[in-house]
Amino acid sequence: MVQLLSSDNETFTVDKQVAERSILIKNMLEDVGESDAPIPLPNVTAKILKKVIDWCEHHRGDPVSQQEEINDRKRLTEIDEWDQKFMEVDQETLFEIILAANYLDIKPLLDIGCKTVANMIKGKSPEEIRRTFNIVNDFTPEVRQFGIISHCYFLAMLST
Amino acid sequence: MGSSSTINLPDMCQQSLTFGTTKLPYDIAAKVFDYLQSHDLYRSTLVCKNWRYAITPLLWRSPRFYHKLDRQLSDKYSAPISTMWSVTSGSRENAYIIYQTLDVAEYRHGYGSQLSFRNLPLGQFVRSLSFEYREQLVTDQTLADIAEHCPSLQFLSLSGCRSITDNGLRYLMRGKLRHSLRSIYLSECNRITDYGLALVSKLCVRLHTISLNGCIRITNAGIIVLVKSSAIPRWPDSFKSKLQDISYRRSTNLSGSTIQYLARTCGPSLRKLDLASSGNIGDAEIKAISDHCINLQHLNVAKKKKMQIVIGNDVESLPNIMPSAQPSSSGAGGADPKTDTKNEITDETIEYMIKKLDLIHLDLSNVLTISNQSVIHISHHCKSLASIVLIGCNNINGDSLPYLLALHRRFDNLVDISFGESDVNFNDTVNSIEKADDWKDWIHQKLVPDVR
Repeated sequence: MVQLLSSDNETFTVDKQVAERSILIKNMLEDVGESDAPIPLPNVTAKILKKVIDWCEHHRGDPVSQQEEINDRKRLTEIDEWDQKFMEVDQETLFEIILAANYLDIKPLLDIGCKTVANMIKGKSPEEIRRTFNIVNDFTPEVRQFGIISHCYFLAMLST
Repeated sequence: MGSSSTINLPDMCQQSLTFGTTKLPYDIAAKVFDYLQSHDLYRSTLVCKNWRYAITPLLWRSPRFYHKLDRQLSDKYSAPISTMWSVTSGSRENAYIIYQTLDVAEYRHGYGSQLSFRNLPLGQFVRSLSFEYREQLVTDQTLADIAEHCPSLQFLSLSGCRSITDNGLRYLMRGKLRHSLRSIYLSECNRITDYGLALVSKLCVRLHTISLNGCIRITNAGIIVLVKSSAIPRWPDSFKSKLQDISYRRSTNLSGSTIQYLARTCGPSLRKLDLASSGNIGDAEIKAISDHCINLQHLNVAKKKKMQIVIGNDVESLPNIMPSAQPSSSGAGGADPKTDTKNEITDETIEYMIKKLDLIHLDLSNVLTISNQSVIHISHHCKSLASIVLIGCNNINGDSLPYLLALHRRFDNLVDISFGESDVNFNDTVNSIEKADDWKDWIHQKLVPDVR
């Protein structure tokens, strides 16, 4: 068993096998060796850590290193049912899970998070994307009118 | 506008992407956008400034080159264009922005007679370029420009660009991209000779995929140099060569000993070998391939269709005269390509091969010397086989179909069988076999075209 300490000082006790889904924790355990002291995770709140542990529990039996399929983009955006349910959270939580997965180095979870966000963008118009993520359209009117922003940018690239 | 002209690349890559209240670091955001197709990326660049700066380089990873008159472009992007138009208040100017944005990645400047890369802005981001059958656009000068402006290119397809010569390849290999290039497709580039191929194979240290279909000026010597320079002698045996995927169809003069040399040297690294219509493949070659290329997954050794009395088919008939004029240098396996009948693939060889290799795709079209026995062997041993092509194999008839069905039932991998164009009619067998499974759907029967 391994103890994990969230940023807001809540302790979670999990199986070693479950905790080792996180490469960060796995490396820590290897470096430190067996120890009863809780592992501090200053970048993850209790709420998010609980979600992440839930995910690791469910995926504890998965093979650790999955082969990378880079070419098959279309199939890649498919997410299996359980994970889809798991990702049905508010946007802030979703992004926090992604950041936590990145910090804890849990690649499959990071991938699922990124896929979920990608699916939120897919097929939407710019205005719909803005609305989804609450983004302000900050293109200045003259830029909009002449459509020169890309060209300004490219000229800058060329001159540097 | 003022702020946009001062931005430069390092700043941009350190930036984070805003999603409402949350900010994602650039490298994570890039992962998100990796899952999106290019038209979703275009639309994302129109969301806000921050997104545009971050996403534009991603669009440039694999720019596509369309001609103004290309139907493809209008068909493919008419829907997104119109939706964006309606959203962004619908004036002409807005439509212009959209076209400008498309230009970013579609790169539609400088068309006219040929492409000019002189003002290709984000060349450093370009990972893959495809110019398939853009003969009039791509010249040797284009390759020189690519070499200059795309230092991190990994994938380059020049298939069907027939105006390219060895000189073009020489220009190309001057660029930094020779350190990053992994795949090059040169099919139908029939002006390329052994010299050009030798340059590519010697200078591209990471090359693992090459396609030379129909490059008629490339000879055995060229292939030997290609294989030889890809080999890394000091590495352990299991990694003899970097080449994983070789495609060389319609090579009338490829000799048996060259194929054997290729099999020996590339060995276990080879995943895919496509030598369709390449004359001299017989027992000895198949044996060499099965002995050495133990990780092969995709094998195509289809023969050229036997000459029929077809009127006015010059393209087919011309190469058929050629092979006898090019006898192979002393074949190691004692195979003599001069007489077609002697150097053929037999049932025993097939059996030998499939016991050694775990193939996923196998194409044995027009191999007349194999019979149902081969199919039975295949159905006993090929666990991973997903597709098999047996078009024009006259000695294989409907009796072998049940074996393939059994294979499908046992391992559930086989989903594609192509049969037919032979003297034997399969319909009876197909009909007589029980209608369990929906297996009729994945049997493609190519019927004999009605000539008369």
